[in-house]
Amino acid sequence: MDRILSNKWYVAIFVLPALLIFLAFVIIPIITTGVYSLYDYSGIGEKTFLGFTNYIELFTEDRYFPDSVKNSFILVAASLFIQLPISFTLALILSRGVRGEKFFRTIYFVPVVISSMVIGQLWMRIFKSDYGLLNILIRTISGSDFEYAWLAQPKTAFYATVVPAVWQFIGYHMLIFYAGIKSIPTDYYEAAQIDGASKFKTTIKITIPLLSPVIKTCTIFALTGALRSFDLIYVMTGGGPNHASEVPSTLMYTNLFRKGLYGYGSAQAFFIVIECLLFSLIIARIFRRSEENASIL
Amino acid sequence: MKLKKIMTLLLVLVMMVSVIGCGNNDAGSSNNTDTSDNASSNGDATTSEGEEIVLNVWHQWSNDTNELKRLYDEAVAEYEADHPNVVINTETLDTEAYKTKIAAEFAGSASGIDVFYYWGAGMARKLVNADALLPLDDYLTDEVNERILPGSTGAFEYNGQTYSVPMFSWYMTLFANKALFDQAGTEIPTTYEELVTASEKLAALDGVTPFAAGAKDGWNAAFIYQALALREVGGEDVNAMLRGDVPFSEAGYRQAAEKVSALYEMGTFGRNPLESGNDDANSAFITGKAAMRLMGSWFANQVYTDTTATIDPDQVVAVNIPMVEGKGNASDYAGGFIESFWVNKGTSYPAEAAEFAIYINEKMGQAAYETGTGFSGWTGDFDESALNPLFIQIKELLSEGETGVLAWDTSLDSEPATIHNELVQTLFADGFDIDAFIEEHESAINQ
Repeated sequence: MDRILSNKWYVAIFVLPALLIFLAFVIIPIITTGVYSLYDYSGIGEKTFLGFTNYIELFTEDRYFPDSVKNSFILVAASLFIQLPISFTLALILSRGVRGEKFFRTIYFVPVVISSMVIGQLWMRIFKSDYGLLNILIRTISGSDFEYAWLAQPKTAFYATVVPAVWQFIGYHMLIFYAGIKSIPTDYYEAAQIDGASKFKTTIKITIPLLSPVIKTCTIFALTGALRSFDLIYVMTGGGPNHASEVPSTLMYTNLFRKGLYGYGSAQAFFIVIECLLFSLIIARIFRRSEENASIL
Repeated sequence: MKLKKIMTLLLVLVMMVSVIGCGNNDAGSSNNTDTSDNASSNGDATTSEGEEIVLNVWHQWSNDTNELKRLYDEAVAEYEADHPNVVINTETLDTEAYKTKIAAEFAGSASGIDVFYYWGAGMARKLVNADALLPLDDYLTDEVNERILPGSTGAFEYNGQTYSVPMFSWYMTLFANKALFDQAGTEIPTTYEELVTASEKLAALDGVTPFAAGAKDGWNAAFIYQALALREVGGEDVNAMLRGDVPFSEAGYRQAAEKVSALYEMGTFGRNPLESGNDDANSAFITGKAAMRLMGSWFANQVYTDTTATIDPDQVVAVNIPMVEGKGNASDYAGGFIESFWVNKGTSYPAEAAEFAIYINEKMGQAAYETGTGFSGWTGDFDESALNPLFIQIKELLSEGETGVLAWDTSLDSEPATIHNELVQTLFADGFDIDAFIEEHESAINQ
């Protein structure tokens, strides 16, 4: 085994297929998108070179882009500070060995595998202003005063789409945390118990630090997923009403396929890619120290 | 040991090649990135007798409850029976997804499309400019040309060449539920003032929205605005604006916007018109939850054939768009010939594809008329026995029409069209800014 791994040629050959696919379907399209973003292109026909005009227009003249970026950051905040803690708590509880552990694991994972279209349709029915579940609930509890058209009013439309977005992937992160927690050797817990640590202290001082790489992975997934989020928002509000719930990806979709502005849309796409990359690097940096500590243990 | 190494290397190479080979094809068919090689079905272009020709035809009637889908399938079966060496392979997607798919396909080589449904005028213009469509002049015989209704080909001709032939036309109609009007004790409106009065009375009815707008879908919202703009400005001038001959500057456009916004403020469209799209609004009308619906003539068929409808179809009346007092012409109407089947220039079988395109346009034109879905662009002996009463009413209205204005998003280029459809939605929400509305229209259209 060592002989194979130490020979760089063998390593290169085995990595080559995956590398080629990665190049062809990830790197090259990203580069192509970057190139298109420098042109004025309608999708078919002639391209006119524009330089960075698209980007300048994007940041200075586009009316909806700043708000869409703000919305995507709200979704990021919700994912990092609501979704991940809930997933982590659930994973902790489940890994402690409750009754029906396997059952709950499956149940919580079900929303992840259901198509986003279906989830969007489901939550649209829940949020409907006249016969939606939420409003019926509100009506029964407190009368019609607090009924609202959650998806149709600009003030609440985006927050209404955040709810299913956060809900859908709780199970996914929970499973990753669960696997991480299960892989921590029980010796540490025993040692802590002998030293008289409470359950809470054990969690803070042992579980979380040792889970550092896992937390980093989940954070990056949650963050980039939120920045790129498209399907739920598109199905539920289409970016409306009147651009209240736009995120960069829905704006990009409109620009590309409705307005036929391939150059401009490519600029937005490229922006999203760079944004995700930057954040991933920042997260990796933040977690580097704790990862090193975790691997020592 | 050496043999083992060689075998390992060989295995890796084989795996690599097969994965790359399969991978490329997958990407080619599922998404059209420019890097993927569309190793496609555009192989041999020989069309010798007896060889099977496969034509890939795309259209947007994907819903199984859509009459047009059924009629299309019947027409295709007939064609295949008459042309045993031709196999028609049909793909469908619903409207918005369809538009996106076509845009994506033609960004690449569109090698999987031979004949496809599309809208003419402004929408097909970009395809014509990119030289992606096959002109049909060479395939249109005199015999065929004689059967085409005069004046119906405007949206299909570009730069002196004919790229398609008409199928059926549509007519923007105000559908009114007479039973609900009687219940509210008011008349079906013929003018804007009457519309306001009727809405007030209808709003008093429990659980009834006076007017189902479907404004979540931009084009539905646009219909309502365009209808009033037609009355304020007049058909000729609107057409001139859409052609680019005159700028978007008439006072009538502003007044139409103010009228729509006023109707929204009154509650004519319900409390949250942006919550429901086209299908929801249609459903509201045919289940008696809305008293009025401004829609294309194709909706007449749905009133009669939709199994989820609960109202009595004979209680539905078709009338013209309400007039604005002292303005416009009663003979102006919204609608026209805009949709048809077109041929991809890159098709391997131009003659067969052209022949099928001309055939299917005529067949669907006839079928649409006979089922009361549209008005055929072709002359001929049509069976009028199955026409529903609503359609006959609309036919009467159409016979008095003189100047037709197509839906703006089919006449304008895609960017101003999308901006227009987005701007009209602001009419159906609070905080409507009339100056911004006009300004943005001007900057989008007056280019």
